[in-house]
Parts: sequence; structure tokens; C-alpha cells
Amino acid sequence: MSIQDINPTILLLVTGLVVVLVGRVGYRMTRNRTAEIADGGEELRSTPDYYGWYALVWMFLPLLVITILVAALELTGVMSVPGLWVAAAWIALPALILMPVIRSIRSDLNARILVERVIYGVLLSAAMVSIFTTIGIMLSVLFESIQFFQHPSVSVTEFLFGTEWSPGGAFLESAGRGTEQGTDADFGAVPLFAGTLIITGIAMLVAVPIGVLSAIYLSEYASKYVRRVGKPLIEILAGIPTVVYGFFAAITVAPLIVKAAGWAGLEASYQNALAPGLIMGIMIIPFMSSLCDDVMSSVPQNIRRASYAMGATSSETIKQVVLPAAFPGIISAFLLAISVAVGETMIVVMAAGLTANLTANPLAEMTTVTVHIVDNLTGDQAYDNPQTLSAFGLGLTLLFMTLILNVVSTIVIRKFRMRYEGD
Amino acid sequence: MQDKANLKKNRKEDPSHEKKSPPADSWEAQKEHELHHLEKRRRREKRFKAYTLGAIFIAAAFLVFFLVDLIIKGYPALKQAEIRTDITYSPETIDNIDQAFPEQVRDLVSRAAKRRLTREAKVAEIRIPVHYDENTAKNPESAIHPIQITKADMPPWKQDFEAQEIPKKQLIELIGERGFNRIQQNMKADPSLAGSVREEWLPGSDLLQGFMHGATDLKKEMMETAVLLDDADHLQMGFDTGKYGTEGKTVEEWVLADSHVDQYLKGYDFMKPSAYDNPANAPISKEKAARIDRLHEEGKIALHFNDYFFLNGDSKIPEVAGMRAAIIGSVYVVGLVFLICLPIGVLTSIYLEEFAPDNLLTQTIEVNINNLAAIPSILFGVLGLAAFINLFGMPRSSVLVGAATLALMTLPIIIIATRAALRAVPDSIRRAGFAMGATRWQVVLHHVLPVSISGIMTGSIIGIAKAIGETAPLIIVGLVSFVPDAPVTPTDPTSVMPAQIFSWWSMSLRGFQERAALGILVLLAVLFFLNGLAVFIRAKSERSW
Repeated sequence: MSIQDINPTILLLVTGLVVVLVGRVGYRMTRNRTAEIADGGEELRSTPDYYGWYALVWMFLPLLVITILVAALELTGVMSVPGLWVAAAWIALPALILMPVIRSIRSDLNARILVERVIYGVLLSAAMVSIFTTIGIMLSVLFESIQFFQHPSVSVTEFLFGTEWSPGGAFLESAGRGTEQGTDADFGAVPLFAGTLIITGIAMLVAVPIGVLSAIYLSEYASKYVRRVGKPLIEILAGIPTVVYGFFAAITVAPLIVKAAGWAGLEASYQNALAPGLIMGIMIIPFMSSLCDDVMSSVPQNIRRASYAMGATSSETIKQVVLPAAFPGIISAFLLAISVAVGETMIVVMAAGLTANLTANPLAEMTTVTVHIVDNLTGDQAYDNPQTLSAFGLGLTLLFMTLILNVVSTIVIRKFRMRYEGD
Repeated sequence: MQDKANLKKNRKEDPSHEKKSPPADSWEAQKEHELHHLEKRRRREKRFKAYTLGAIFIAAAFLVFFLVDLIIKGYPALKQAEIRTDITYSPETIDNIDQAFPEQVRDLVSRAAKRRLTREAKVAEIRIPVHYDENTAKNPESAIHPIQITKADMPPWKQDFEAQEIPKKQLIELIGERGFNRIQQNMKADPSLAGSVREEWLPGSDLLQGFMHGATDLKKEMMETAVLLDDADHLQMGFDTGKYGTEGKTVEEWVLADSHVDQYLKGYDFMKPSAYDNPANAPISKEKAARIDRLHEEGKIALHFNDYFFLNGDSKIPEVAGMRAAIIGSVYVVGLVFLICLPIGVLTSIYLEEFAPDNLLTQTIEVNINNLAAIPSILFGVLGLAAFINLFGMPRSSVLVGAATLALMTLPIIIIATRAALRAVPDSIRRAGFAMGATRWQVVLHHVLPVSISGIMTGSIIGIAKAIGETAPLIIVGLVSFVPDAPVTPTDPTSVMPAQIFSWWSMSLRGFQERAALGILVLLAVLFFLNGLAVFIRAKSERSW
């Protein structure tokens, strides 16, 4: 068996174990050293455990930085370092560094400063992960979108204002058969936007009244006990995975709607927009309800009391005092709910259709932006095919929409807060 | 002037003002009027309260309808039809497995069961010249000599080949205990064999069985030898005479029934031939339906607990498709997500709550985390595809890429929950720590974290529950592909529970539908358990400062 054949998982485990052992030994030896110093009657400047960590920092931190650099080099393909070398370095170098570090420990060394600085660095770098994630999402979506929009058969204006979405032709075109067959890829995303909008609209028609009304009940009418039961009950709806909602919409609700429509003399598609819209609305109820509940609970009690003192009933107080005061918060909840609905994927993938249909009839088949992102990225086309890349163009619009909705809702909430702070 | 006119106009339109002025301004009439008005207001109040209560009831009613519907759809999948039948294992039936069953159940038995029977009744055999002598009974290994593979042994398409000798050591390893037992038996049965050389098909060792069943974890030289022997026709799958005797035997067993039988027994309308105008369109014929009914009455077909669902991985055959691989995959992926997210999430929260100066960077991080929590989950899948798969070269469909993608999505949830838990710790605790001369890190480590740990756990469990149910980003990074086996290493392809539900849902065969529904029930049970755990931890550790 050659050295290259060592199973990387085993290598990792063995190295990890040895590293932990070496680390423990290092820590112990340092503590022995500090105990010696303390026994000698000298006073340490930091508590003994800091010296132990000080030694560990010196033993492993430089190595960690080097390893990350090597990994980066390997990923970018500049050079490749065998895993065995890295493992050997992790075992040998700390052992080598340990002795000089222990010798350097004296009573007037303030180990705490270095250790706490390293801790701060670790905390900060953990916090940076989220920044990198955002940058990663932005860049990955942006770069691929640029590739998409630079493709000869695609133009930005057509994408934003075109009403014909049939990317299927793109495959033939790239195979050099596009023109002779007369098929042309069309990337007009308006039908997708319209479908998204209509399904979102249906969802809002369900979620907003039920969400707001149930929030009113929970925050204004319900006794403490009812609140304790009712709130988690509604939160259960939020805990149900979207794939389950999708299954329910497709298997149970859509056929019911088709039956009901047939009974009323209408014709409905099994992939109508109503089923995913309704179920999405139900999914958003707890979101809407808990946000509105928070907003209404934060309306100061004394303005309610003032209203009661004037002889208003509860409903009058709610309608004329609490709701107007909570209105900006409710609007911002509404905007956030829209952004959830626009980005929702599984329900529409399972219950809505694939055909890009520009219609306002909720009983007809409709499709959305997210459906096509999934469809184009899971197809078997090549990665650089415009049909695949179109998913990134759609992803970019989706990202824009949600970010704008979020920013607007934050602004609305901020203005709302100002009003009370001014009092 | 203008204002006054407006005022007058308003007064006229406002009914309450108008009614005060009429001549019948008696106290009684006014009281009557006020009482009437009050009545109206009370009714309005009641109506409004009813609306708000109604909203709660609609939500609750939906929840009940939803759960009942899923249980009705998924419950039947807990049972699976099995057939009690004679199975004839014999050298003749083994290559034509249909013959092993009596005619009346031949078309009712699952394809998967037939395949399993064929596999179980066969054993990998190796053809080898055995040199019998007096010692053979005691030391059968001496009967094996190295064999030569020459050009003549090889198939016509493998003629660019040098003659090769297979060493004795490897042959012994391939023959194994069972093969040598056979040699000893032969010798005992017929002692006159001593001194002769006879070509025999010997049952092989576990190593050989594994190779013939497609295992690839053999050592390199062994693999080459085995391939060579296979090409030279020295290996075959033969009838397992060790298990069933040379003549074969007939046993009565419960075997898995075909999905059609199962669905028919469960009484689904779409299976009944009588529900179709043209019986030819029905999945099963009238005769078959009658036969199933008869066998069912005789107790030869029955619904038994569906342990296949929990013991098998995914399959293209609905009656044997199970969730085991997906459950293990989910545990694996979510375990990794937890290992990634918990440290990073807690460290980030500690930074933001306890250490961060109020500067631009901190504000950026905070805004960023809030935005990240609001980004549609599918975009994390797009990131995973573009960054992890295409840029970093992680294997598609693997545990690793699934966990990395989900971790990015779960991180903001855990951070937000952990920050809330840290913020709930009163400042007096921190100040007490500082007053004793502790550093900031010591205060966090020794005082703030221990009292907020239950809040952190609660938040993390909720984040993890969200990750378990997430599907969209995993579809994008390829976790819905057909994966029958549970993953072992992080680079193995895997499926997860919601992805498995999705892929069963997208199957056209009806048998998969109820499996998807049962899968949903399993998933929901896991989620309810986790959320219940979170509520329990929260209730247990609740304290007021």
C-alpha cells in the first residue's frame, strides 16, 4: 500500500487525535511550569490557565493560518500539497515549538493580552462569515447573470419586458439547429413575474386578513391562558416544512378546486394558481400574525386607556387607536410577508405549473420565477447553456425584489419607532 | 367663512349631531336613542370579536384538516401486502424465477422479492482443478495448485493478453472455508478420488461473493485476479446446493406482494376494475382482482406491518422503497450543519453582543445578518451550486455540499436566537463579574454563557428543525437524485427526508404516493419532537431576574 492510498478520513481522525494529545501535553507542561514559578514565590501576571492557552496559541495558530493559505492555494489550483505533509506538519511543528514557548514563560509575561487578542480575532472572523456569505450570494448570482445577459440570444430589455418565455429553443440553437428548425429561444420573463405576482396576491388575500385578525384576538382579547395555547397553535403552521405544504396543495387542494370549479361550471387546470396561492397564504399566516402581534403589543398601554376612558368599546379602541398606531408596523409585516411569498419555492414547484402563461385567471395554469430557477438548474442541460443561466438572471431579480422589500420595510419600521421616541 | 360653511356641512352629515336638535328633545327620547346606539355599538363589538376569533378558528380548522388528511393518506403505507406461498428452490427454477411460484400467485409477487430470492438462492462459484490425494481430507488446501490462464481461455475481445499464473495464495483466499468443506465432503463420499485431478465448481469465500455482487472494496491485486478469472469463465453464480441440497427444496414463506396487489387490498378506488368504464384501462384485470380477493379470504394474502419502509433505502420499485437512507442522510447532513453552525453562530453572537464596538463594521454585520435571514432559501441553493460545486469542486449531491449550503441558511437563524438569549442575561451579572476583576472574555465564558446556554440550545434546535425540513436549496445542489444507500463518508451522495418525499411525490406510480405521505408523517413527527424539546428546555430553564 503506497502512502497516497491512506484514507483521508482516517488520516484526518488520527491526526486530530494526535493533535489533541499534543495540545493537552503542551497545556499540562505549561501549567507545571507556572506552578513552578508560583512555588518559587513569584507572582504571575495572568491566571495560570492563560499561560496554558498562550502556549496553545503559539503552537497551533501559525499552523492554522498556513493550512488555510495552503487550502486556498489548492482550491485555486496554484499548487497541491499532499494531505500527509499537512498532517505531519500538524504533529511535528507544535511539538517543536512547545519547548521554546515553555522556556519563554516567566512571571512578568502577560499571557492574557495575547490570548484575549486571539479570542477577539476568532470572534470577529466568525462574525465575518455572514458577510462572506452575502458577498458570495451576490457575486455568484451576479457573475452568472452577466454571462446570461451577454449571451447573443438574450437581452436585458427583452428579459424585463418580453412576454414570451420559451427557453427550450436555446438548446437547439446551441446545437446549431436553431435557425433551420425555426425555433428561437425567448427569454421574456413577464409571464413569470405575473404568475409570481398573482400567486403572491392570492396568498396575501388569505394571510393578511386571517393573520391580522388573529393577531388582534391574541394581543387584545385573549386571556393569558388562551394566548398561551393559541399562539403556539398558530406557530405550528410555521414549523411545517414547505415540501409538506406543497404535497398537500398538489394532492389534496388542487383536485378539490378542480372539482369545485367543475361544479360551478368553470374549467380549472390541475396546476391552477389558486391551490398554491391559498396554501402559501396559510403558510404565511403565522408569520403575519406574530409580527402584527408584536407590533400591537408594543403600542403603549396608556393610549389604550385614554380611549377606554373616553367610553370607547374594545373594538372601537382597536380600530381607531391601536390599529392606526400599529399601522406602519403592519405595513412592514405585510412587505416582509410578500418577500416570503415571492421567494417561496416548494409549494409552487409542486402545485403550480411550468408553462409560462400570461393570464389573470387564477384557475389557469401559471408559473413563477422560483419554479423556473429550480427547473432550469435541475435540468440536464450544460451549465453554460442559456437556459441554465437564465436561472441566475431570475435569481438576481428575486434577490433584488426581496432586498428592496426588506429595505422598505426596515425604513417603515424605523419611522414608526421615531414617533414614540419623540413623545 | 369657508371654515364655517364646512363645519355646518359636517354637522349636517354627521347623524349624531342632527338627531340632537329635533323638537322631541325629551329626556326619554334621548335615553331611548342613546340606548339604541349603545346596543348597536355592543353588537358591533361582538361582531368584531367574533371575526377575530373566527380567524383563529380558520387557522386551527385548517391545521386539523391538514393533519387528518395527511394521516389518512399516509397511514395505509404502514401496512404492506404479503403473500404466503410455496417457493420451489431448485437448479431449474433459479434462472427462471417465475417457475418457483405456483401459477396463481406468479403475477402477484413483487419483482423485488423475486430478485431477492434469485440472489439468495445463488452462490458465487469458482471453477478449479482439484488435485485429490490421501492428504486432502485433512489438509484440503494442498489440493489446490496454481492455475494458468492462457490466451485460449480468454474471450475473443481480450486477446491482447499475456498468459498468467494465479498464485495459490490468492486462490485459497477466493475459495475460503465453504469451498474446502466441499472438497472434504467429496473426498469422504468417494475415497477412490485420491490421486485424480478433477475440475470442480466450488462455492467461494465471502470475498468472492462480494466481488460477484459488485463490491469494489477488494485489494487491488485481488480485484485484478478476480476480474481475470471472471473473463476466463472461471467464475459463475450457481445454485446454492449447500443451502437447498442438490435437488432443491420447496418451502412456504411470506413474500412481498406487488404494489398493485397492495393498493388493491387497501381499497383505493382507482385500483378497482369496476370503477372504470373500460376495464382494460384499470391497472388490474377483473380476474386478477377476484383472485386477490379469494386469496385474501383464504388468508394467503395479508397486510403486514411495513418494516420495509424503515429498513430499506430508496428503490424504483414502490413496494420496497424505504426511507432508511434518507433518514440517515438527514441525520448526517443536519449533524454537520449543527457542528458548523453552533460554534460560528455562538461566536458571532458573542462578538456582536459582548465585544463589538459600535462602528460601521458592526452595523454592516448586523444589517447583513438580518438581510441574510430574509433571503429566500432557494438563493442559498444557487450559491451552493455556483460556489461550492462549480468553484470549490465539492461533489454534487454529497453530504458535504448539502450541509455547507444548509449551514449558511441556518446560521442567521441561530445567530438571531443566540443574540436574544445573550441579551436576556441581565447586565448586573456582567457588572458583578467586572467588579471582581474578570476580563470581558472571562465574564462571557464563566457567567454569561452558563446562564444563557438553555436559550442558545432552544434557538439552535429551532434552527436545526428548520434545516431538517428545508428542500429547495438541496434540490438545486442535487440532493434529490436517486440514492438507494445511506452515506458513509461526507463525500458520498445522499438524500434527505424532505428531498425523498419530493422525489416520491414526483414519481408517476401510485404506490409511491402513500409512501410520500407516510414520509411526511415521519418528518412531521421528528419536527414536533424537536420543537417539543425546545419548548421543554425553555420551560424548564425559565427564570426571572
